[in-house]
Amino acid sequence: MTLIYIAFGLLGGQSLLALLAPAAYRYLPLGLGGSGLLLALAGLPAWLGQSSALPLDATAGFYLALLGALYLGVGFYLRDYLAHHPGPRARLETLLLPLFAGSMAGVVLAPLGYSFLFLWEGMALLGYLLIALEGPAALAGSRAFFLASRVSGAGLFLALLLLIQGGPREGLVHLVWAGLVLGFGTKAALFPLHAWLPKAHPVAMSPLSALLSGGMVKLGLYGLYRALDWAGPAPAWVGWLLLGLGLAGAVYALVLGLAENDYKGVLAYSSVENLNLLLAALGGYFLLQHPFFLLAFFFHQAAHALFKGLLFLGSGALKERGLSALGGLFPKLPQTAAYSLLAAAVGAGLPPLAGFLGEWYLYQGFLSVPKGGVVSLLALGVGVLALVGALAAALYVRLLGLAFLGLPRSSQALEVHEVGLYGQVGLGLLALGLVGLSLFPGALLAPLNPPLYPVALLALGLLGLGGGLVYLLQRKPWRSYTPWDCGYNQPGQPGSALSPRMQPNALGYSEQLLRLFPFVEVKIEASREGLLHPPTLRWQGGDWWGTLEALFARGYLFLARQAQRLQSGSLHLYLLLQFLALLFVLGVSWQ
Amino acid sequence: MVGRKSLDALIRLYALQNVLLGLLAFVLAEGELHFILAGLGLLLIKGVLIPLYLFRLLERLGISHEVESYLSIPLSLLLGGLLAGVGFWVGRSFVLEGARLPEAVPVAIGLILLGMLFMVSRKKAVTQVLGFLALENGVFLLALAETHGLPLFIEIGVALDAFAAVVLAGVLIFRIKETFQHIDTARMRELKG
Repeated sequence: MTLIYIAFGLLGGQSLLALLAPAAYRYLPLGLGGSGLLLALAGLPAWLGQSSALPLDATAGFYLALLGALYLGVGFYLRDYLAHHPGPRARLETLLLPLFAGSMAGVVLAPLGYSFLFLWEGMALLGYLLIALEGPAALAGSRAFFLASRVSGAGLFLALLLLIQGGPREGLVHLVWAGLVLGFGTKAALFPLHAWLPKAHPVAMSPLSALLSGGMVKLGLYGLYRALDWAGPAPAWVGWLLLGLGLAGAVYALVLGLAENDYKGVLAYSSVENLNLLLAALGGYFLLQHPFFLLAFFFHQAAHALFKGLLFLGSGALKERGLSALGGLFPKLPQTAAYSLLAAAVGAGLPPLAGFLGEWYLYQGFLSVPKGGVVSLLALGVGVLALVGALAAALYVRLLGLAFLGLPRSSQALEVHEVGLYGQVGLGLLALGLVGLSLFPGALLAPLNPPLYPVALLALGLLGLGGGLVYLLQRKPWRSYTPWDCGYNQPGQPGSALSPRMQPNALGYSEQLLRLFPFVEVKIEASREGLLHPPTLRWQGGDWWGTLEALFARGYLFLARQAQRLQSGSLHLYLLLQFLALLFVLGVSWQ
Repeated sequence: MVGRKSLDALIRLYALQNVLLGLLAFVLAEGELHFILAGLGLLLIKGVLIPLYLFRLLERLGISHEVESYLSIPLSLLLGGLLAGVGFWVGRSFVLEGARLPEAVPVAIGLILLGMLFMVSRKKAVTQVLGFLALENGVFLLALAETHGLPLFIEIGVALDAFAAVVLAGVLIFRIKETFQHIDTARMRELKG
């Protein structure tokens, strides 16, 4: 516990320093990164079962370690990132970020009670403020974040107040669980409620996106898992709901991600996909209590926190974020690109990396359902998982291929700078965690007694295979052809310059795939300037959060206008209403 | 109070009410110092200061000293009687265990209801202040009847609060008079969203 106290002290001190000193962001590697290290050091032993005392039990320990690892990387990265922000803004962010980080760690440590609600709401509010600091461009995103946290708060207040009032009573169990699913599910981007995330996360600054996608949304999952302690076993419908919506949402988010043009938007959709898979795993655990689901749930969370944190941090180096304007960044950003490649390989679920193992456990879970009865239908989930795996691979190939390979599609694309030393340390720490997780998953999963395949051996084998292949290819000298000069420019041959427009753009790349799915509509529009100009591709679908917001606003205004009829402006009428209310209360409380 | 047409008489009645309340506090005091002090404060602030201030306010406003009401006097009396009945009827169930003066609880609730009726049905701003004061007296009586005495500071604080509220309301009424040339709240209808 001492470590945790020191960690919170560091966070508080960092915020305090931002109040006093203008360039306090310089100390973020210590204030945020150092506290992350301490939190991880405090959390891991608790998770591994070496010390377990409330409030730091095994579950809390796991999430504390996860958050801590993320803070460590982000803390270092921020040191470089905030140096580019104007002074007052960097100062405000240095003030708010440690508070945000502290409230997230506090949520994990808080017992069931008002303190939990307070920290949860504080976390949502601070997150909103930090996104809103981006200015007018982030207006829609921060509003979506705020409204989603209100929806989440509504469900949580209902459920947790009922729980605080005296535990789940007969008949209220379903209501409590409905509130919990609404409250934590919204935060964890459960499928129909996910729509806020792809709007909010891309507009935040990159290190904040890493904290949101890597850390904050995981707390929704934490809440649902923790609810087993608070509210007892979940009714069967909760498990089915999470499973069904989770699997559907994973496919849905991936397809929208394949159509998305914004680099960070694609990452946000990938977050929705991973979160929905995790919710499906949790739903499977609720239904069957099978350890494979739990293994998938915990391991994939750790993997996702690290690789998504790494990818979002990497996106901080980009100025232009539209995929159709990017390209050819590998030589300009060698480190960032290499780290992003590693993270994307994990995200695509390539063996032997960490992303594969989580999905493998999930497969095992679906394959081990008992035969007979409705439950055996769950085995069909394997098919959905296979589709998800393929789409995720396509998503990351498209993302990295369009951004880092080929020729730059615009001149703005090349206006990038590789991050400084601190930034590279931050990226490197997360990548190190990812590699460690990939090679030694057993170290993290020890408390759950997982069946492991020899990952390290497999990794070495694959590495040897790859190395051998490269060696074999290198032995033959490369030969150059220039039949149509199709693909790459030949050095030293002027006149054969390729135009970047010969490459597919962001939508063209995935158009064929998108046409398979009915909920996205792709249209080819002929150019108005004549036949010689190429047609443009457009797509639509998926954005119903805006519709929802508009509906909500209209309904609210309608109600407000009805209420306004009461406001005649007469003081006496107002007094009379109060008088009647008093009489009503007297009448109700009279026995 | 409900049946009176003259503002002067109303203020005098209010003063009388306060004197009676103060005396009640003395009776209940049983020699305890803080009750005596609270009663004294009540007599001084509510029995003397507030009525004097209200008289002066009326004088400076220079308006007719007649109560204008939405309801006729007989109807007011009828409703008042009815509300007092409601107070008695309902009030018995609000007596806490160990109340000092259980008989006074229905009276206090009746007084609160009557104060509200007064505020709702009378038109002039001054009458609304008087209604509020009567209501406040009801609350005081309730506290006196139910408890074995609130802490002295709270009682004196409440009395001073009432006085401050009256002073503020007086200033406000004066400003209303300056701005609108009347203090008829029934004619002010801009208070809406």
